[in-house]
Amino acid sequence: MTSPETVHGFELTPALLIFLGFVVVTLAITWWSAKRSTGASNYFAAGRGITAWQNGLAVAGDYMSAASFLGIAGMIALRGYDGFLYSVGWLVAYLTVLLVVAEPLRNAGKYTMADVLAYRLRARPVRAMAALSTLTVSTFYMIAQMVGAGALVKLLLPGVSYEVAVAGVGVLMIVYVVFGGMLATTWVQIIKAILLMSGSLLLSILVLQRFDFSLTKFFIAVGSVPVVAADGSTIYRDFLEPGLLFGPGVAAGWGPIDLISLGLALVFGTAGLPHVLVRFYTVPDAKTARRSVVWAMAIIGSFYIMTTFLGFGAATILTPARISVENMSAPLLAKELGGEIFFAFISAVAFATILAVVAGLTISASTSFAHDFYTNVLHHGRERAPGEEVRVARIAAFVVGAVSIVLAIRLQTVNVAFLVGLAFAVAASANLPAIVLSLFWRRFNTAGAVWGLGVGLASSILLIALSPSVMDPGGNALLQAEPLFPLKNPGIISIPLGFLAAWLATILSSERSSDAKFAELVVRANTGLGAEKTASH
Amino acid sequence: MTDADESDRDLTAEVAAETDVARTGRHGPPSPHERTADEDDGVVDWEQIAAMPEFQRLLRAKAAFVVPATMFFVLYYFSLPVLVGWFPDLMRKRIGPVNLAYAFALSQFFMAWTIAFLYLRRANDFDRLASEILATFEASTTTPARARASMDATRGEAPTGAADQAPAPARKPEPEQ
Repeated sequence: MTSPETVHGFELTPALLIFLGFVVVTLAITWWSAKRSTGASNYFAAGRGITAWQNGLAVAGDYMSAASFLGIAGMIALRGYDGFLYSVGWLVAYLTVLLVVAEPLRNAGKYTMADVLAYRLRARPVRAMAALSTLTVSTFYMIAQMVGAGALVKLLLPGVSYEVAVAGVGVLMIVYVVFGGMLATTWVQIIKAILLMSGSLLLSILVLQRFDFSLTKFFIAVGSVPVVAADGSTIYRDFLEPGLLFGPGVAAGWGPIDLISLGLALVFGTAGLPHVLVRFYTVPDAKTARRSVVWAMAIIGSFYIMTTFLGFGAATILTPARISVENMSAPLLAKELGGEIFFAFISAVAFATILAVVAGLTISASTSFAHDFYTNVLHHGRERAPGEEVRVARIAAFVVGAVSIVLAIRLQTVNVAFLVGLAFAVAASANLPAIVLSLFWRRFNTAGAVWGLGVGLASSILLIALSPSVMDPGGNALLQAEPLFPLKNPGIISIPLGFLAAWLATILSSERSSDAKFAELVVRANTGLGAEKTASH
Repeated sequence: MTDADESDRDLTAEVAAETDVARTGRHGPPSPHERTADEDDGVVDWEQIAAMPEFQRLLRAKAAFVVPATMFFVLYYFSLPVLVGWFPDLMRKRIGPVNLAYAFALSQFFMAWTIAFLYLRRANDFDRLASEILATFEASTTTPARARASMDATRGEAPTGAADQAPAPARKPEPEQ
């Protein structure tokens, strides 16, 4: 906000209008979905009738947050190559989803991640821990998104206050989820993915047009980006050169190790993110789930390749000196290249992005609460009245949304970007070990699952609390202190700890899991025999 | 959802749960809608399938693809931060208009897409093997009618325990908005 002429001096209406258009369309979808969202499998899993390409788009829409769109573009615009390096892991992570979890999950589960864990283990302790982990991941991730939305609004729509923005995003996501269930959430995510992809594509084309559609000219310009040096003079830097963000000279020599640690959390955490996993229950069968992951990979990969043009384009065309706030580089680039209307469109896309992600988080959290905790832990897997599970989920979605609004407003001034890293770390250190061992290790038992989930969850949270993301002597974080743990990303320690705890607790416990149930799980996971069917309308 | 849908929905929440469906008093095996979750669960002999040589072959075929593919992509991906972090001079080498660092990062996307594509193609064989196994299993089951019936029982909200492999009919795409 240090450069008023680039932020304030424009007409607000187009951005707000385009965004309101998106809101009207998504509310219409919610109204349409509400009539179809009766019954548990319709409400929680969109009747399992989503097609492969639809689910591919929805996974992409669920996954690509504003941090990807605005954050990575800004990182590349200001730090060059290392920002792009950062974006690679977000796609490669989907290979774990494709090769290891998507199909077994669809074949053997019903609504949540815990269905697969509880299959051959004692359901109540395992589900209780899995629900705790799911709620932790979803809530942390959601607060990061909502605080980001509020901050974004101040930059993109100066007429709207932080509180109004957060409350607006929160109320909309509650409405989508409570009334429209998974079907509405899916379509909000599909539309967002289409908007995000077309916005990025247009912006990329406009950037390349500046260089006469010559990649050679483009990369020559990237090779000498004017940067204001410490003494005020302008120097030219090669922005393709690595090391500005993760180099050994950055972060007291921990740079590359921190990057590897982040990579571990991404590559193993994406396959344990509850809001991504529940998407695979919305398709008719495992084959469709598999094809939808490949669709998602095509979309997500294309998007991250386009960050080359969004980020380096901002670096070369705007130059870092004119990018007042890192997250604003893509919208400012849009304004430079396409004028006010295009700026408005890109700003609206950024909000659509946030809405789709928080709606996905809300439904996965509320499904886990209702299905895992309420029905299976509290009531031993029995609905006391028909439709109770869905009713509880709707109430849970409302509560999750309301709590997130309050927390996001209270945390307005806190830098909460680390919460996204925390969500991935917990998913990789707690959820993934439990899922993988449950599917592939015959000896795995309840104690192993509970301890694996618990230690993965606790160690991720503890290590982040002691990391430079939370403890910063410069006062840029939650606590002003010398960090006790040097890495911003705990994955390199917490993921092995999660696996170790799961293994150790298993072999130390005398409990033997049933061979028959393991045979059943393996047959189900690999053949689809007895898998949940598409709902008949 | 209509009332008819409501009535044929099995509300039994989980295996071993009670059921409120009353028996009609006929002899012989209960009809699908009268089976409790426990009875339904016993329809398939999972261990029999698990022990089939064809099933073991399916598992080996899957592992033969998934294990090397996973090892390869993990190594390929993590060599990026290792090379960039500790061998920056090597990664500065120019390749055409870009440097090795960018080219290698970009190659990760194509690596991921290639593995995904190869898996998609290979998985057709897995699907075929799986449906052969289920066909063999159904043929060997003495009462195929029970398996068929259990398929009906598990429609809708019923718990696990069906014995059919007919892929669920892919529903038409949802109407646009």
